[in-house]
Amino acid sequence: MTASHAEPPALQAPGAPWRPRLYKALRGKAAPLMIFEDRIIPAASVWTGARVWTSCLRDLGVGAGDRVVLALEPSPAMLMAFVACLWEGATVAMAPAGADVDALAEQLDARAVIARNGRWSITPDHDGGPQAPDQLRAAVHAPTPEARLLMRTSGTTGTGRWVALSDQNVLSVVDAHSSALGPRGGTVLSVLPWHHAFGLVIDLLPALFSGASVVRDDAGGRDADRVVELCARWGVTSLATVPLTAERLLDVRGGGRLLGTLLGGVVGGAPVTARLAAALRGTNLRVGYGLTEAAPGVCVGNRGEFTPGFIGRPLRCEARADGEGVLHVRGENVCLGYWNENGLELAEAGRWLRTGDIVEPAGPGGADAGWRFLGRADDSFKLDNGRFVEASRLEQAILAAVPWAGEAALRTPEGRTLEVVLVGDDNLSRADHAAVRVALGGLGGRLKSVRRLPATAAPRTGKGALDRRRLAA
Amino acid sequence: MSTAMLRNQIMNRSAAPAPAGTFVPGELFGMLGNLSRNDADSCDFGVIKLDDTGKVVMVNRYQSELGCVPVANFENKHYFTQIAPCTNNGLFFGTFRKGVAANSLNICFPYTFTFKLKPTSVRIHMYRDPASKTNWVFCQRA
Repeated sequence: MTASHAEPPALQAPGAPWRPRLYKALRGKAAPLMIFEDRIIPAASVWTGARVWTSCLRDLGVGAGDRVVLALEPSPAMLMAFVACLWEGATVAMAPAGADVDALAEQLDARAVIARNGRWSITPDHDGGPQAPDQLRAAVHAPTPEARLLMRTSGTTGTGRWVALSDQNVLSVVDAHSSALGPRGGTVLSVLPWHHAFGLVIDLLPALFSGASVVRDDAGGRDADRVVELCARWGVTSLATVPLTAERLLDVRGGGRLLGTLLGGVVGGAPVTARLAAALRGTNLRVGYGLTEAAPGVCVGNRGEFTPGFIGRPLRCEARADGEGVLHVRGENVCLGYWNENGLELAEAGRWLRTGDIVEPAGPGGADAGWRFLGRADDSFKLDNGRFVEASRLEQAILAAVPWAGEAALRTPEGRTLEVVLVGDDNLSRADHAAVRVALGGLGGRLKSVRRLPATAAPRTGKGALDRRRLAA
Repeated sequence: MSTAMLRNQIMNRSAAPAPAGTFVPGELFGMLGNLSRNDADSCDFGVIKLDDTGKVVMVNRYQSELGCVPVANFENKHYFTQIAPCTNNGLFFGTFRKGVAANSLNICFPYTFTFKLKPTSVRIHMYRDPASKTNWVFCQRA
C-alpha cells in the first residue's frame, strides 16, 4: 500500500474530526485551486503550508483548546493558519484583519494571535508562512477544547457577543449545507467575510471539502460589476451572498443574467425583498436563514423558491414559533455557549435557542411550508402608557394596506407618538396616510408622521436589511 | 467544469504578444530555438524546456536549486506529474496541453509551489516558441 492510500495514525486521534476531512481535501492535491487577486494556490500547497504552521504552533506550545485569535484577510496565509489551528484542535476566534488584536487577546484570554499587527502575533511572511513572536501571551483561563470556533455576532440588532461553536455545531451545518453549493468540483465565488459564520461555515468550508475551486473577491461583493467580471473570467458556478449584493447585481449589466445561470448558491443573512424574490424565483439559488448562534445554518429553501420574507425550512434541525411568533431552534447546530468575562459559559445541551426573529408559517402546510420572516422582536417597543407594540405585526398590516410599499418601519421617537417610514417608489398620497392609520388599529390616533423613502435611498445594513438605527437618526 | 473554464480564461488572455507581468527579457525569446544549457544557467530565473508531452528536456541551475531537485533527477521526468504534481490541474497542465495543440502558448500567472516543504510564491510564464516548436516554463520567485 502506498503512502497516499494509507491513513496515518494521526488521523485516528480522538477529538480531531477535522483531520480526515482536511487530509482528504488538501493533501497532495493539484486541485482545487484557491484563486486570489495576486496569488493562486493549489490545495497541495495549502496543505504543506498548513504543516509549516502546525509545526510553528507546536514549537510555541499552542495545543488543543488554546484560544487563538485569527485576524488575517482572506489569503493563502489565512487558509494555512486556519487549517493548522483546526488540525491541532485549537479554539479559533475569528476576527477581521486589522482588528485591535491586543484587546481581543485580552478579552478572549487568547494564548496566541495570528495577525499582521499586535504585540503577541504570529505574522505571515511573504509566502504565507509563520514568523513566530518572541513570546506568547500567558492565558489565565483553562484551555477550551470543547469550543472549536469563537465567532462574534454581527451586533446589527444589539451588542455583539462571542459565540462558542463546537466541532459538532460546525460540521453538522457544513454537511447539511454542502448540497446547496452546487455540483461538486465547481467554482465558488467567495464574497462573504471569512470571519463571519455565513462566509466561513456555509460558504468556504463546504467548498473546500467538496473539491470546489474558490475565487476570492477582494472587494467582498461590494462592486457588482467586478462580481460579474470575476464570474465570467473564472467560470463561477456557485455564489453565497447576502441580499444586498444580489440586489446590486440586478442593477448592473449582466448581473441578472448571472444570477439566473449560477448552478447553486445561497442568498441569506437578511430578508429578501419582493424585487429580489421575483428575480431569483426559478433560479438554482436557495434562500438561507440562520444566525451565528446556530453555526449559522437553520433553514434553506428549495432551488428557486423565493417569495418576499420566505426563509425556507429547517435543515437537519427543529424549529418552532412561540406564542409571540418568535422562532426557536433546536439541534446539533445550536451553539455550545458563549465567551464572556468569566470565560467559556456552556449552555444547556439540547435546548431551544430563541432567535429573536418573529415568523409565521409560509403557507397552509404548517411547518412543511417553511417560515416567513416578519421582523425582529427587538424592534418591538413599549409606549408611555405601558402598552407593548409588536412592530413587525403592525408593519405587515401596513404593507398589506399600502401595496406599493416594499418595506415598512414603525417606531416611536419618545414613547407617545408613532412614526412610519415606507420604502417604495410611488408617491405618498392622502389615501396612504389614511390606510396606515387604519392599519394601526387602536394605535392610529398616535400616528404623527408617514414618510416615504425611495428604495435606492433607504439605509441598509451590510447584509441588506433596512437599517432602523440610521432610519431613526 | 472548472479546470476547463480556468484553462479557457487563461488561454483567452494569451492572445497578448507580451503577457502582463512577464519577467522574461524580450531578447531571450529570439534565442529559444538554440538556447544552450550555459545560456539557460545564466538566467536569474527558472528555465524549463519541455517536450510536447510535458517531459523535461532541460532545466537550468536556478530552477534546480530553487526546487532542491538535482538536474539529473529533473530531466527526462514528466514535469506535471513527476516533478511538480501540484501543477497537474487545468490551469497549469491543461493550459500547456491546449497551447501545444494550438501551437500557441504565451501566458503569465501567479502560482504557489511547495519548495523545500514550504509554500513559495512564484510567477509563471509558459511559452511555446512557434518557430522551433519548443515549450518553456519560466519561473521566478514573486
